[in-house]
Amino acid sequence: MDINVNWGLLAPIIVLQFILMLTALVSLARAESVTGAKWIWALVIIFGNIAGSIVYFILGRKEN
Amino acid sequence: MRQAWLIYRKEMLGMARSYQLLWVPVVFLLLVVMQPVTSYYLPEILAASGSVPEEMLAGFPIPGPAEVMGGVLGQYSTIGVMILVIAGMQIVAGERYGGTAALVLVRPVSSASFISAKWAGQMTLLLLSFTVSYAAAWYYTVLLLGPVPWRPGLMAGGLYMLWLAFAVSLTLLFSTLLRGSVAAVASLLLIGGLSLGHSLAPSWFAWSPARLLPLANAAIADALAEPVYFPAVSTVCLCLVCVGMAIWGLRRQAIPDLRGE
Repeated sequence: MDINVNWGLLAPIIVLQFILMLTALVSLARAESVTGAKWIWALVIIFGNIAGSIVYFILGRKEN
Repeated sequence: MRQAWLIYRKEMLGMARSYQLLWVPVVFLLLVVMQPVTSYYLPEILAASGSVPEEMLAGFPIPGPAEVMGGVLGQYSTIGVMILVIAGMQIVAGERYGGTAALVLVRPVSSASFISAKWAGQMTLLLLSFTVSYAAAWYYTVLLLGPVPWRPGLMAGGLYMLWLAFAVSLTLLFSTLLRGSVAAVASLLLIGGLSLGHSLAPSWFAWSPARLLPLANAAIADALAEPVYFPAVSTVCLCLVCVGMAIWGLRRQAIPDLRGE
């Protein structure tokens, strides 16, 4: 398992993923109500990778 | 005009507050940038998985830049369209069923400025997401796999953006006529139907926006054999028709929505 990875190349992608996750978490923390329990959404966002955040933004948010 | 500008600004503020202005471009970026990166590292990933024989790996071709850009475009036409449609499905429906549309429209706000402001907002989101992500995918492809010529690259990108603009306009129209989730399903079905129809009977659908996709794929492979004006112009017209019908639809039924909803 010695893939020769150019981390300088991948760093922006990792940072972007992190930004996406952070945005989703901030949005979750500030939302007054979401569909379902907040802590479940937090798990989905943290462990669900990109898809988790997308699913939260699409299904989790309630329009006041 | 001034009224539309005000609603547009409110719309952009709303998109920023709901983080849509951030997450849609970021998701687009991640989606398409992965394409060149995984193509480049695929042999190594396969080698690390250990189940692929040595001699097969030795002859494993790394795809050329044009092929990878074709894959990037493919991402837009599948997941890209889906995200745009779902992000835009509540654009008018949400306000109609939430009651804000009635509140806005009993004031002297014409439904024309209401709809065109909404449409401009969605177009801004599309323009931002698409240009940023396409530029990033292009950059990574050049860095990892080799040069992509300017003209075909820009041409293919422009054609795809037109197709996405059509998807967004269609979603706006359905969002005016139907409930949010139904609007999304209807738009996706129609868009999917169009591209399926085109792949089954290309000559019947030569006029349609679906024609833009194969044209863009030909453009990026530098094998464009026919002019693109006809489908491009018809797509622009269809977008305007969608907006026009949305204005008409909203005018016809903005107030009755309040009954029993």
